[in-house]
Amino acid sequence: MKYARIFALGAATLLLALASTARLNAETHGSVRVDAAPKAAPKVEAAGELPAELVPLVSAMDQELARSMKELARPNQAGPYYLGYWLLEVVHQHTEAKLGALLASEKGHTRYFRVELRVGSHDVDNSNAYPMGFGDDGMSFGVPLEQAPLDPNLQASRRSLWLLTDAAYQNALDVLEQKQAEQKSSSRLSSQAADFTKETLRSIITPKAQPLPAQQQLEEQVRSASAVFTAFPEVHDANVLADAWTLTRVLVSSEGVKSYEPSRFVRFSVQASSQAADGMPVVRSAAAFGDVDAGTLTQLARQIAEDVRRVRNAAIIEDYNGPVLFEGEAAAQLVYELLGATLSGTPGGGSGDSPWLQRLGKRVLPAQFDVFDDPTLEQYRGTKLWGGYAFDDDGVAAARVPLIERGRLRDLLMSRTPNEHRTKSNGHGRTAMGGWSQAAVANLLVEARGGLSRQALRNRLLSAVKEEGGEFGLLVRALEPREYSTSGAAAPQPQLIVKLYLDGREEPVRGAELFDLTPRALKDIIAVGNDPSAYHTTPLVAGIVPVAASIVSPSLLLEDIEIRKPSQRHELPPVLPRP
Amino acid sequence: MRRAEAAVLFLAFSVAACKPPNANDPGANGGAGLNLPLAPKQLSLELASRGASVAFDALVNDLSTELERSQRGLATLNPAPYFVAYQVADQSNVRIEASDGALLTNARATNRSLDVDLRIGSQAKDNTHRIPGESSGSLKAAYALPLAGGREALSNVVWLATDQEYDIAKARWLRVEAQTDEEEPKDNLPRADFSIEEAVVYAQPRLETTLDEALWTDRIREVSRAAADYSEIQRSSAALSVVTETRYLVNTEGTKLQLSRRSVRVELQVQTIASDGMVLERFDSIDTHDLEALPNTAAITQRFRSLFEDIRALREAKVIEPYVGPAILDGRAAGVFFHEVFGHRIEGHRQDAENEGQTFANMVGQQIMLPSLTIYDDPSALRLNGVDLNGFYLFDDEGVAAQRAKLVEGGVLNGFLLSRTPARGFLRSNGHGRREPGFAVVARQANLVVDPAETVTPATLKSVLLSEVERQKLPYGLRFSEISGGFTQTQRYDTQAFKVIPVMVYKVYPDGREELVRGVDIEGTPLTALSKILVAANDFQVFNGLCGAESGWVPVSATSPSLLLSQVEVARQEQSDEEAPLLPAPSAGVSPTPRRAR
Repeated sequence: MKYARIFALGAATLLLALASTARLNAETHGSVRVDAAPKAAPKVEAAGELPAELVPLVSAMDQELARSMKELARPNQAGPYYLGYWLLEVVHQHTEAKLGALLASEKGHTRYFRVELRVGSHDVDNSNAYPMGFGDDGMSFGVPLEQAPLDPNLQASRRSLWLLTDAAYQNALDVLEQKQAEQKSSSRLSSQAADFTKETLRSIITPKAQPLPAQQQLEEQVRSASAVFTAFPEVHDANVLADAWTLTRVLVSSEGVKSYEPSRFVRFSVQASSQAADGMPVVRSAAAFGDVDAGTLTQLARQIAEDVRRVRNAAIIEDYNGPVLFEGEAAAQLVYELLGATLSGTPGGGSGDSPWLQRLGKRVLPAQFDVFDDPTLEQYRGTKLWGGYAFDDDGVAAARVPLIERGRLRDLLMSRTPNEHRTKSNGHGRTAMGGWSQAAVANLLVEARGGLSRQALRNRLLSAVKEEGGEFGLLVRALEPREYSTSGAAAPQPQLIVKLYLDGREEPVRGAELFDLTPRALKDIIAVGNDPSAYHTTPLVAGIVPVAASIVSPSLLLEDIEIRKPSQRHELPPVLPRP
Repeated sequence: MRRAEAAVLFLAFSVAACKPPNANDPGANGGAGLNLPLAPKQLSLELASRGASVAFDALVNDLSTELERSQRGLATLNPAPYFVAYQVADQSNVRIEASDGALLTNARATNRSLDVDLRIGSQAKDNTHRIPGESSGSLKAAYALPLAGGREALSNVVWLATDQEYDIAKARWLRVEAQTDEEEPKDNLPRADFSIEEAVVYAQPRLETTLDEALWTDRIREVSRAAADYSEIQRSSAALSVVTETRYLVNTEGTKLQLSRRSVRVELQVQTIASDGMVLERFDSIDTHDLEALPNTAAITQRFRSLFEDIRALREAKVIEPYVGPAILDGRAAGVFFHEVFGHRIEGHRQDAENEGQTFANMVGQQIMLPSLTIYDDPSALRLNGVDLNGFYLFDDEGVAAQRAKLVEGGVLNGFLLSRTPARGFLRSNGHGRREPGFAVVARQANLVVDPAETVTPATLKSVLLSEVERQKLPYGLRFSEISGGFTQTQRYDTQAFKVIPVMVYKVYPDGREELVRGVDIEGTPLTALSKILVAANDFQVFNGLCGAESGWVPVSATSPSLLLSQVEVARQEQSDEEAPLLPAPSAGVSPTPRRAR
């Protein structure tokens, strides 16, 4: 604890340290360093202060950053032109229950240092080279990461940063050399885009996060909600889970930034499964974000149980081609899967360039639609949003980005990795801290003029059915939730799908599979609701911290969707009766 | 921290070039002919006494009720299983880790999981019968159970798990029955798929984790602070892990078991990069059955310091040149050597499988090493020369009582490590069926002991080494004092080779002087290596570790006295391209370090 006293001056020290960091950066050591030095000390936006227990670790970051920028270099080679030190503190609580009994109750507290180091220049550096895998020294995809002290121990923190920085630097030189050799020998035209955008950044310090719920409360909530299933013998297996995180991010960079932002995130999930009498699996799951009370969670569990019961006894769907109404959360998830997951302007990577990159300026939705992403929002029309932040994982301040205006694609989400059309970040660089950041959705909001009420929307569906001479239309109420989108992979399958007959009668069906569903389907939206609903998800999972996103959309009526009955053979129903 | 696998003994399954096992190198079995002054053995083995059985936890009764229910339901099916077992592992883990005087990890986890073993057919031939082309052992599912109570949830999980395992067993059984191309056995040895064993009913009191976390956090942090005196050495960590585990087993033969054990482990690791890029690592662990049995903080710190001293010495040591000649393996190193070279090859399930090398399958009754050598594996041994043994248990994971497996007697191969899966000619288990929860049981080592009938003093051993050096006209001999772990390949299409990673190796010159060298690899083939043992000393040492193979990770030990081998083949380690840090370590205090010349 001795360091705590030395650095207990808090915010005042922080500002002084900031000024000195800027001074250090202003010194130049060889021509390669010039553009790393900010023109002036960056602005500071302070709405909180760094907690005392983190101060020694952050001081270590300051000291090693200054030392590394000044002295770290292989003989006859340039040192780093950019160095970003992240301190990540993760507190994670997890509880899980089945039929009123606790299956798991865990609580973890871990800190990490993450070192983002760049050699070369903004035009060509060691990023965007896709080195694969985890090597020694926690080198994960080119950005080393290592556990950091839980104690306020300055010296141990410095040692850890020293070794991580060295590993990052030596790796960066090797990667850059390899990348340049490949670019020389490659016959294909090298990308016109640079590797790292130039930005004017400010330091941002946000207030402390609210404390997490008590472990006992999370235990009790999952236990009592899971007990609901004791009254549903036709549900074979059901779990209720709670996950609560606080994630604290601190960035100290060679651009003079020193930012601090704690965030907090609670998610409950209910998963239930069964088999129909013919053995077909029936699965239903749902998540609730935020500090939901016990009653709400229990109600959600009951709803899921009833859904399983209903679907289990439903008839198998026949093949269908025609209008489909995606209601509420299912519409928001559809927007995420077809649009949100691929709106990133980050080039390359495993999944290739965004399919939208070449469609900038073109129509992608009907003209009544506007779509934007705004991480600065905490809520939207009364719905709490979970994808927000003050600064992104490149340290860039969050900003609202108009993506689609009057149906035309205007912009893409950008991190500090530019593409051939965009040379600036728009504050959407995100990573689960498993590697370099990439642009991803935060709070994606779909607005449409001329929205109809739920009833009017159903009538519109039925009139479309009538026009085609059909007897019924389909309503999709729930899609299988997915942790992340595997863009290009099959569309998420419906968990809850209902036939709506011309006389207004509803009949649940089971086994429906969405077939050949592509983003083009969105161009043929024939009607839209006036009922914004939210879908919350975690778009990036390859790493150590959760990254949340919220998508809000009204219900959507799509003109021509192909649905098929199940193609796979399924298991036999259980051989033993349920006890 | 970074490399928790350092003290791990591993069985690898890589596919390498095809090379048949080499079984006909008699080697230089000269030991019997040497006329040496014998010295008395210093070996005292403390066997566990099985205390009186206590009352079973409610869980065992609940499992029995579920088993009866399942059995009634399964009996009506076609095919109906002839055997069902439920095993529950209830685990609580605490891990505290510190580096450079700072706490990195303080984590605690508890879980309870179910393994279901279900057999269809008969003991002579069932769903586990070998199918050509399939390798033995597999990852199964471990089903999460309620941490406590939860009668209805328990019932639900057991039902679903039984259903799933029945489907798997039935599908496998249909494949076994459809198999028409099975080769007729070339010998008349009896064989079967599942051994007949007695049912046992026994309960040990359930142990609970009692750890003063604040106290141990301080102690581990304190131990890790030793790094401050070795700031030129890059990475180090000290950790304590305490695993308290109760395993419950019920089966349709009437076995009911409740067994509880605690594994306490202090792990000490030090790592640096030599000036030529070679990664230098030292690992030490202290394994006990109780926290009270651990040495005090000063003694643990001393062991940590000696790792730093070793690394310091290794940094200065010369890289070895290739060498073929006599060598001493110190006790712990010899233990690891036997675990890899011998232990993994006498696991019963490797003797029949067509894809296994079957090094020893047809050698029962034959002389395979020095006639004075006896080797056994005894899971019922609690302590050896006062050291807690990692491989201790009372009953194995199939409910068979732990017993001494006599593997080699008088240098002659006598038998195998056996689970309830028989080997040709060996139809009963000897209590070595083991698994990590979630894996299928196979025969594994527990406490391997190399116990020679004739021993000499370490000094005599060294003098024999020196006379071998002189006889073979070599400039020096070698002594291996620490081997950090190794791996072995047992599969038929592998090279049948083993590899161990010696970390503390000394050249022993004719004048008796010793010089540390680094970068040493030992590779070889098992039968040859075993046939080269000349003499054993009387200084038994225990190596405690964790062993990974088909049935997951299990705690083991290997004990041996120092041994002299007439010939060991040593290669230089592959050069690594790690680079030492460019900047000096950050100095204490906040004064800037002197600027380096560019």
